[in-house]
Amino acid sequence: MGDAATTARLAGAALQAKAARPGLLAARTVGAGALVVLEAVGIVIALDHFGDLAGWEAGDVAFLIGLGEAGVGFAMFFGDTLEPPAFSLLVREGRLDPLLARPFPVLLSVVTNDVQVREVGRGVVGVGVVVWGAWQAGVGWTPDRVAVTALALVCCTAIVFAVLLLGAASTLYTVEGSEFVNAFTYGGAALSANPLDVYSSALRFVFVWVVPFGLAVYVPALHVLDRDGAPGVPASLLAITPVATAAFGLAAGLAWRRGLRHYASTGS
Amino acid sequence: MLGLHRALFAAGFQRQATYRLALVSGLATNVFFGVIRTALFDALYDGRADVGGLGRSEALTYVWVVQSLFGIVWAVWIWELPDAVRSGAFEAELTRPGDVLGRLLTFDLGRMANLALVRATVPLLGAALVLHLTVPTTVGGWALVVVSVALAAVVGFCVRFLIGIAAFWTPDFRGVYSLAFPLVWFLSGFLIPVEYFPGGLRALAEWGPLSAMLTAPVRVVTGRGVGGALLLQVGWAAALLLICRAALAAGERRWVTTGG
Repeated sequence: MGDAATTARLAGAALQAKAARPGLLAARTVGAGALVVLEAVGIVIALDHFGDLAGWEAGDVAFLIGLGEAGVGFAMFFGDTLEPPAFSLLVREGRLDPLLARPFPVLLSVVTNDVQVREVGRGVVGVGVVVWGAWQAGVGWTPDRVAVTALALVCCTAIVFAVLLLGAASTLYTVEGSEFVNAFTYGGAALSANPLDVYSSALRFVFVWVVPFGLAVYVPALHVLDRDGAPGVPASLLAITPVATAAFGLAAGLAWRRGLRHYASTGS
Repeated sequence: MLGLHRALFAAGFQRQATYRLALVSGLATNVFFGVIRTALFDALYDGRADVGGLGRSEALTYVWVVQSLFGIVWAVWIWELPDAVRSGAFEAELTRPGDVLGRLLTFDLGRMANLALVRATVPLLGAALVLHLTVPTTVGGWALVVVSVALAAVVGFCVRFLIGIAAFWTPDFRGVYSLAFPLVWFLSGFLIPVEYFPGGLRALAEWGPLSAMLTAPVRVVTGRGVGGALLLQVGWAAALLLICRAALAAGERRWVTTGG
């Protein structure tokens, strides 16, 4: 309880700092949202020529794009500080060390160090694209479908955050951050933007069972849009979605703790 | 004068050579996105021969040329100029010999040449070995690709310069970037080929300055309207350099260094 209150106060302070420059904040929020809109516009334009993507129409694909981008947006709100360049700077400038001495979980200190309000623009517009895609696809919103969509948003956000945490954990060893983590955060949204049907079975396996974006985005979408899945990825995998997300999150959490122990033991 | 520019070009090339881990992870990122987008375009062209003048092979070539070039024309050091302006460090640039814009451009081209040598060639050649891409088959054809990439680099420098130079007027220059980036990303044809765009938007993207960054090099690589694409690039590079010069002059007049 004490931790929650402290977290809220720290995040509030970070928010206040952002509010000090409203023009900048507005421009960055609009820019982040515009990227998501344009991504959806791009696929609509392309599918105007091609008709469908592996049997998926523009609305269906927009639904996938929206889920992936919303997940990235909500995860980045807190997780931006864990991004390789930012976190690497935190370590190299020695700003991590005082956080270790606080009587407060280190991860909460790190993520409340800075919050990215603009990423909410990406998240909210992502949800808007989800709703638009479902409308195009003629989805009737039942409580069931709303619940599955909410589950997808939560799981996708959690997986993006876990990827960021894994990246930060590796930065605790290498100090220099690697841009390659981006391939799995923004890349996670990019790969979820396509129905898994377009990938080879090897890539499908990786995107479902190794970095489970497929379980968090594609499988719930099958339920909401009432579609059959690609070979090896049936809609019935939905029961696994929360389990796999939790397992992936747990693995990232353990890696982070190991990383912190390693970092502390360097005596830096 | 030529000696100065040769030294600056070499210095830029050297500077970029120091970022080895960044190079490797950047390469891996490009390849990852290239693989994802290859799957996308491959599936789109299932049962279709030609869309907007692009066949499957041209579309896949587009994917890999764009992946190879974007990290060059939209270089990661975009904040260096505006940060130097805000911190006052840019003042040193104004006191050095030679033309400011020319020096900045030459140094930047050196850095981009370093990236082009590894970051652009490895993914493109690798993809050309595995996939059926449409690439030049003559030495002359590849020479024109080099020219086109160099012109794209000049235009990329100008676009980044014009965004960064907002720092002369506002401390919120990052907001200018946030608003400009989606337009650059979309109109340069990074997301989908401009050949797919409808009517007016297509004309704007095909003839506008951003076409010189990615669309024109793709055309030169795939051998569609090579002469026109190069002419367009030369025209926009010249026009944008003039605009950059005017903007820099205006910025300098506006600028007062603290304690300068």
